[in-house]
Amino acid sequence: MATTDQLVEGTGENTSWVKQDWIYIKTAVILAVFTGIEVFTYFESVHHAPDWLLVLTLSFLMVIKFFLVAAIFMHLRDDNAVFTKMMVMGLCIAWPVYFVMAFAFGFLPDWNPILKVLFLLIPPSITGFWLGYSFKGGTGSHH
Amino acid sequence: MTELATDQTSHDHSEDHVSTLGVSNDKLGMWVFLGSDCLLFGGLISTYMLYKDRIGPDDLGPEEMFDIPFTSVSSFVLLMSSLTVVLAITALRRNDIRRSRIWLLTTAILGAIFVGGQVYEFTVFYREGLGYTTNLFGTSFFTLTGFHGVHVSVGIVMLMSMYIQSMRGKLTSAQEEKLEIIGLYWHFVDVVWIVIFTIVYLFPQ
Repeated sequence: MATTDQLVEGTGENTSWVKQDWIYIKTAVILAVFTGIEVFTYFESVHHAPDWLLVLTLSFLMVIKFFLVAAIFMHLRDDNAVFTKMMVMGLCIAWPVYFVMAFAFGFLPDWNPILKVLFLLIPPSITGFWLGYSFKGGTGSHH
Repeated sequence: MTELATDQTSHDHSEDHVSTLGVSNDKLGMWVFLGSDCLLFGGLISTYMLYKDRIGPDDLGPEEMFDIPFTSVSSFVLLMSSLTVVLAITALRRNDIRRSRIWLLTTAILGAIFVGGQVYEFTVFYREGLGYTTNLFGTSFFTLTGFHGVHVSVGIVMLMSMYIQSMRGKLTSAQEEKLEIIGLYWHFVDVVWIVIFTIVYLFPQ
């Protein structure tokens, strides 16, 4: 027969699972709403928004959706920081590569060259600084 | 002596799963694979962006071909499959095998609906005159979305293998990490589609 303590512990565990599942369900609802907004932007006859605003809105929603799935569904929020750092490092490398290509082929506005260089270097530099700063180091095999 | 050898063997096996970083080797391996896959899709998306306007004067372009309401429904289906796979993992973690199995099967079915939608879309495009070699838009579009479809199909096969293992009683909460790693792959496929759907289908042409 289970003791009161065991029952309380069991109920507490169940509550925590229910809470966890609710976080996932709420995330899915947010993702669905964002997708709905994205699809709405397609009907230009309804909203008459300029192209630059559409690209900006769609890019913003895409990035939010990307990070929501990575942080919550892929557990990066709760998992070991090494996984997050690996992913951020990849993005740091990818950012300049793809934006250089985008500039080179004229996908982005004809900005001032200094602005272009800043746009390319600032995001990866900030993230790189955070990565370097947050690495705690370890007991390497050379010791 | 035999006892000592057995102890040594079990010790070695327990260390198989943890690297010097303090994380599971299998999971780390999957993350490294996903990182490399990011570069593959990055390259394919960039190629599509470069070639999407390379169409002849009489050829059909993205504006005439895409059926956004239809693709939106497929995208929604794939997005929801990310929820069902994560529910399968949490159910397995709390040893609720029956519910985990139901969510696994639901995920595989949602994935199959998505792939079916893609096959239908490809067929419609082909009938309307856009083949793989018609123009550079067609080649880059079919390569990008086709590669993604193959990824989803591989994911369905992995989910079904988990489902079969579960039916045979070989999937318990002790093997939760196996399902979590397949879940990572599935979420990645979803994340890639989030990017493809926005850039390929929704960005103003």
